[in-house]
Amino acid sequence: MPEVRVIALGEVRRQVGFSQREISFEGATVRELLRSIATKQGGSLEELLVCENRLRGDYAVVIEGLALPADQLERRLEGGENVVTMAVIRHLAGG
Amino acid sequence: MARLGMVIDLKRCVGCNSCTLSCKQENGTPAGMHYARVVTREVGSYPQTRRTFLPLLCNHCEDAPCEKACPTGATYIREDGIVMVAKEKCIGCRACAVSCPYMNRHFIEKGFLEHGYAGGELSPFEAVKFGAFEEGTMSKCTLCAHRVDEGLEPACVTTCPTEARIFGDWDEPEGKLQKLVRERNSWTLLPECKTRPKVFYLDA
Amino acid sequence: MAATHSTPIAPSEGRWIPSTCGMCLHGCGIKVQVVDGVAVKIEGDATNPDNLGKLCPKGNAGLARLYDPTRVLYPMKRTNPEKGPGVDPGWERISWEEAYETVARELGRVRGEDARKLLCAIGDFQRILLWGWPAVFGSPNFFTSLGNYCGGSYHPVNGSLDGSFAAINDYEHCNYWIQIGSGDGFSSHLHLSGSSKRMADTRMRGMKVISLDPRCSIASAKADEWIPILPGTDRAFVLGMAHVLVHELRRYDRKFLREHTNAPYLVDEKGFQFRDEQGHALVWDLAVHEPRPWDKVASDSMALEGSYHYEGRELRTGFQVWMDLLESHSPEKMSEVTTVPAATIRRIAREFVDAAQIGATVEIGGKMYPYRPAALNYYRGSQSHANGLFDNLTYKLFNMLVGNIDVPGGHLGVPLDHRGFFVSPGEDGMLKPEPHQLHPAPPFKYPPDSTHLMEWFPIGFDAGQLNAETILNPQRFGLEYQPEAMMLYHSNPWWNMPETNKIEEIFRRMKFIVAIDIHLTESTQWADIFLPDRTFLESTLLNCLEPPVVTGHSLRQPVVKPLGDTRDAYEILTELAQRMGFLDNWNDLLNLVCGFTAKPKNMLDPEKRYSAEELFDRFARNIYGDDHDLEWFREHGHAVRHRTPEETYMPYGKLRIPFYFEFIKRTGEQLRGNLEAAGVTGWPYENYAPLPYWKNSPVIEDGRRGFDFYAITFKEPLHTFADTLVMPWLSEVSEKDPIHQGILLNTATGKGLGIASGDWVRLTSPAGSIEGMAQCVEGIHPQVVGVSNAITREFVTNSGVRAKGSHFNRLLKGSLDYTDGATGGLESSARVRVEKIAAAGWAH
Repeated sequence: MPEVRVIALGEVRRQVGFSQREISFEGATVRELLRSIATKQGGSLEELLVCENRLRGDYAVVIEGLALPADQLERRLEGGENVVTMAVIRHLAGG
Repeated sequence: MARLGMVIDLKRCVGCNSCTLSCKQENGTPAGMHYARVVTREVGSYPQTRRTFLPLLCNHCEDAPCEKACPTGATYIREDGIVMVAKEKCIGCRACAVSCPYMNRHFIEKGFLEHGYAGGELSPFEAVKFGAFEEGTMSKCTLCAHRVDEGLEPACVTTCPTEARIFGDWDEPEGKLQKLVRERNSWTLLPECKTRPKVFYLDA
Repeated sequence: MAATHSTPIAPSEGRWIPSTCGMCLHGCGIKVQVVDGVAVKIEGDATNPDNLGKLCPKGNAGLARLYDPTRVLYPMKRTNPEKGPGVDPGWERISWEEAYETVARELGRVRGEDARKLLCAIGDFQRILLWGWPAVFGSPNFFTSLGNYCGGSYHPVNGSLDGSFAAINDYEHCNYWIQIGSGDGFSSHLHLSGSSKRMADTRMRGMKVISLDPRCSIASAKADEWIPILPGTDRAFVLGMAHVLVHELRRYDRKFLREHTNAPYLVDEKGFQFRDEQGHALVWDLAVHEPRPWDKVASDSMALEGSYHYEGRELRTGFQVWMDLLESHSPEKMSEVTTVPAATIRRIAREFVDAAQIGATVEIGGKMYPYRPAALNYYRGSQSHANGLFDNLTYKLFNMLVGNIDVPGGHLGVPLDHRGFFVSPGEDGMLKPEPHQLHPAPPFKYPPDSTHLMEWFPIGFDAGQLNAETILNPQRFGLEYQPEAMMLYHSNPWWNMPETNKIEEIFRRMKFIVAIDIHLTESTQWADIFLPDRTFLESTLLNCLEPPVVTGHSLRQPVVKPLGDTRDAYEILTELAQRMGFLDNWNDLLNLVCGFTAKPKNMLDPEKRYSAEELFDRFARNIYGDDHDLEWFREHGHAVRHRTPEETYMPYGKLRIPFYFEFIKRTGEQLRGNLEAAGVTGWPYENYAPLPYWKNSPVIEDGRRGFDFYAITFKEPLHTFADTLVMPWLSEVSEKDPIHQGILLNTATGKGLGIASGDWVRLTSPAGSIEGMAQCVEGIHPQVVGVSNAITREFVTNSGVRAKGSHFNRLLKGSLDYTDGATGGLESSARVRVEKIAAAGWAH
């Protein structure tokens, strides 16, 4: 049961009800982590963020500073890793 | 004793006017008045065209015509060679301004100090800095004597991005100034006036 | 109030407070002398290795900004509902409470209906952390055109090449410097004060400078040789030189191209990388005479050149494809385009490759590097054109021919900030291209969300100039809504956007405009509510932007008690977020963009309000550790240091950089698929090409319609953008220089038209016309007229400054056909007719 730090930003934070939290979960992968986190809608974060085995395009999962490619939900997490979940901010205009 | 002066390296100078603005804030001169400035000129015909940049300031002449012209002794030369005006002695006759071939004397007209830059009230900055002037008297570049007296260089020298303005003492044979004029072709402005400027220029 | 001094204030009086200059975006280190609560002198901070105690004229004028009597010091509301140039808004001072209440109500209403209806113009570069506010509000719109004038095509190409944001040649080691349409080291761009010093030192040690420019700029005046050239044709000059290197001299750095680029990768008939069934990019293996995966072949066995028939396929190396393209770009041909003699193109090409010392190496810090002391540097003038992507690619590839990318003496990337180069592995052993560094590219969407069509520029910048095109022709682009409110934050889009009349129409349609700024401008005088910000001498932040040579943050801190009743823009935006109910998401955005999510203990609590000091205290500790808090910065001023050789040279390491920009082509194909599926026709895909070549720009084509002359604008060190033009300290100096006294025309040209200095002239382009006084000079190409930015303001509040009315941007087109279809870069030159008139309309 790896323990990771999950950070939830913006809309995801509102759904899961916390900003950051240490979480131990059953399993080892990103998908399993997302499955272990409940949302206010009554489902899990997996249901919110994943569609057809891929991370939905309007959400991002960033692990230790690197964005998780949409098809790598089976990536294994190490204890102590920093996992940021958020809705993609589509338009940060500038320049 | 010293003979403080400057060498201006026209090869380094890019005509940016940092000296002009640094002098402006150091000395807080009223609108339109610049002790330090840069004259830009175009030379040559297209396409063999160049622009030349000539930074100017008081030449702090060894044979200063302004000093000779001053009837009251208000204009004097300090022991270190800086040409100064004692404003309390100045009667505003402007003989010095007429005598200076370099137009480096600046008269503080009546009313000059009443208004700020934009014509309105004095800004807090102007309120502080205008105290160093007196209407009806002559003012001029002091080679930042108030800085030099504390061991610093004139403001225009300190700020110069390309280090084109080099400050030093002509009395030091191995000093920066003597070395530069030995190594490079140098000249002064209007040598025919025989004022013996202590500001020298190096070829671009 | 300080007592009046009867003698000059000695440097030892009062105290000196370290801070950061805010007169342009780059932020040199400064120290400010304060006597009895009055700031009396700004000097460069000699402990800061960036500017080494130097300061440019703008920095030296900082006190005039702080104490500008025309600053707005209190919140104001407009009482005259009528709006427009010259209309008195009837400003009335109000309380912050009334101001906030009004803005939150008006913008809150828009947000409740459709947040996209807010147009945002943010131009405060040093507070780049705040640029995401509109996104959290819910608006994707970028209603201004500032960075993309110069960087629209520049930044995406730098990011794609080596993960940099900008670029400069190696001051320390370069011996032969070609400068094209740029003021680097002389008058503008990256960190002017320190760069001027480095350039002067470099020239003094004998480096040769060649400057290409339609006008005898400062760089041209100081260069060993000025080569006048027609605007927007610089690329043709460089393509001509590339032709000489590749086809005539056959001198280029084969080792570098084979080892560090994808030039040897094979390209198929359609221009795509040739791959095996597993998807590996293939090279032609000279040992076995067949294609093999790039990682299975030693570099010296890879064919750099050549066309190969293989199993019925026609394959060429990427390098060969450009060679073939270059064949038609002979110096003679390029001479016709540029007006530069073919002999000059040949001579400079030869001098350049001679100076590059291909094959030489140098040891720096115990490591061996290629040594290429010749490089081509360029900026706005040479690439801010409708084919800006091709311009940028050409200059990079020309440098790459001599193998000088990020090596000692060569052309060096400059990172966006303290994070350094964005380097991560991409496909085929290549560096992952990072065309977007300011924000991620939004995914394609039809109908578009943004009024500047950002969703349709997957590798481009925010093309602010397209706002007029879309807002005034919504059906053409499928725009589903009409904007009705505007936020102006340190930005002057009325002045900075092309086709002013169209922009003005958009201003007229706004139901509500809020301005956050320090003074009134052409744009902010349209505001309904004005919220006064603090100047750089009254506020707090940490700054590190595009630093060549150095890295690390410099602190801006208040040196005096803020004048009037102003608020820091960060506090204003935070208050508005809280009143409109999105403080939590705003804090989360800051958590993200400040990098706090990487060190969660520094994260802002989404529900709490933080002051600017609290925010930057966390920001400092997040980057530099807990012993470097805000207090540490207050004392030391900065954490700026020289970049190490490892941080400067060959940041790509063993990853290859692109020579053949296949990803650009692929991106274009994807976009075409998306737009065609959406039924959008007439989109310009042509610039999504993997390699650059010459083609005429719309500006050149305008010449066929009777617009005989080219018009350019330019700026010199006294001014930055529009902002400083209204400052009497600076404008009284620029007014004395003939080049800032009127519209520049070559003397011989003037003679031909019967125009002399002092005559009034009108310039008319396909977009509009401007009037001004003619100034005949020798230092400009005879087919070009030049308009200094110093004479372009139409509205000034400072009685010491005259509006000079020759508003250049009115001559520019902002439409799609004058925009680089791939990068969104806009065309910054125009074709014009020149005529003598009795007197300018505005002169009466």
